[in-house]
Amino acid sequence: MIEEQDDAYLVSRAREGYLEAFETLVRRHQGRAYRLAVRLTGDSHEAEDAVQEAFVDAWRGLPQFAGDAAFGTWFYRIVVNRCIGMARRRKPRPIEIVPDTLVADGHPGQAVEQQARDEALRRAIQQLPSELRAPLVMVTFADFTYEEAAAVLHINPSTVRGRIARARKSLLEQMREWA
Amino acid sequence: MTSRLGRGGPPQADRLPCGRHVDDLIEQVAEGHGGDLTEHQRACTHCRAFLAETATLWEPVSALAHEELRPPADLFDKVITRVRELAADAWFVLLPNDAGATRIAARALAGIAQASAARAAGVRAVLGRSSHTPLATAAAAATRSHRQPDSAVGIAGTQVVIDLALVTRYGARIPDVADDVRGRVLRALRALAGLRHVRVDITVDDVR
Repeated sequence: MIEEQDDAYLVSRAREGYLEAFETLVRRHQGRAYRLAVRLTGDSHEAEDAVQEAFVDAWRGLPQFAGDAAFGTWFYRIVVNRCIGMARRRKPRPIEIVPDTLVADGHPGQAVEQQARDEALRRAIQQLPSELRAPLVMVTFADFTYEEAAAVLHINPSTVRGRIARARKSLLEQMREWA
Repeated sequence: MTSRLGRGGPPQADRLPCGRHVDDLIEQVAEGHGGDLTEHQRACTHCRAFLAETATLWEPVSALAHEELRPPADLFDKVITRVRELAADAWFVLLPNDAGATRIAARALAGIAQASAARAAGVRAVLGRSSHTPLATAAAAATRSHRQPDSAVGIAGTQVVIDLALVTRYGARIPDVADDVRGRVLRALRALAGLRHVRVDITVDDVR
C-alpha cells in the first residue's frame, strides 16, 4: 500500500512524476501544516492559502530537493516561510474571531470576557517577532520537538529553547492583563 | 502575590529568591508538567507561588493548543488540482541521477520528435511549435480549435507524451504512416534523450 510507504520513498516516486505518491504526502502532512499555518498567520483563510502554495512550491521544488534532509523538514520550512512572508506583507487588520468561542458555558459576561481574552492571546502571538513566533508556534501548537523545530528553522536546538523562553515570557506579560 | 512578570512590580528577575530560574518553571508549566513538583518545589513557597501564577496565565494558551483544527475539506483537492495542472504544463523532462539531474526542455523533445517524424515515408508535414513552413502554418491554423500550440509534449516527471499532428501525402496508407512515425519517434527519443516511458499520440489533420 502506498499509504504505508515512508516519505523518502514517496518523494522519490513523486520526483519520477507519480502524482499518487505526492497525493499521499499531501494527505500525510496537510493537517500539521494547516495547524502550523493557522497559528502562525492568525487567519484561517491565509493559512489555507499558505499551505496550498507551500505544497505547490514543494511539487515545483522536488527536482531541487536534494533528499539529504527529511521531506518534512524541508516542507515545513516552506510553510513557515510562506506564513511569515504573508504576515509581513499584510496590512494591520483585526484578528479573526472564531464563532465557537462566542458560545461558552456559564454567564454571558464570562463568555464575552473569554472571547476578549482569546482574541488578546491570538493578537499577542501575532505581535511576536517572527524569530520568536515560529519556534513557539511549532512547539506549542503543532507538536514539533525542539530538535525538529531547530532542523526546520536552521538553528540550534538550544537557540530554539532560548527563543521559546522569550516568547513565553512575552505572552505571559500580555496575558497578565486578563488574569 | 508578588509578580515576577508584572509591569509595576520589582525589576524582572531571571531567578526566584530561592535561586531557581523562571524560564525552567515556565517551561515546566508550558509543557504540561506544572503539577509534577520536585522535592525542592514541594518545600519552596516561591516556586509554588510562581508555578501557580504561571499555570493560571498559561491556561488560555493550553486551551488554544488543544483546540481542534482540521484543514478545510477541499484543501487536498485544491492542491492536487494545481499540481495536476503543473504536471501537465511541465516544460522539461527530468532524468534524476546520483550525480545530478538532467533536464531536457519540452521544446527539445518536440524538435527531436518532429525531425524524426518528418523522415517517415508518407509524411508531408509535422506540426509543432517550431514549425513555420507554409504548409504547417496553414494546417496549424486549420486545426487550432482542437489543438493547443504548447500541448505537443506533455511531461510528468520522466513520463512523456508526445502529441504529433501530421499532414500525410495523398496515397499513403494512414495507419502505416502513423506506425512508422511512432516507431521513429520512440527510437529517436530513446537514442537521443534516453527516454524510455514515451507515448506517441498521432493526429492526422490533413491529407495533401
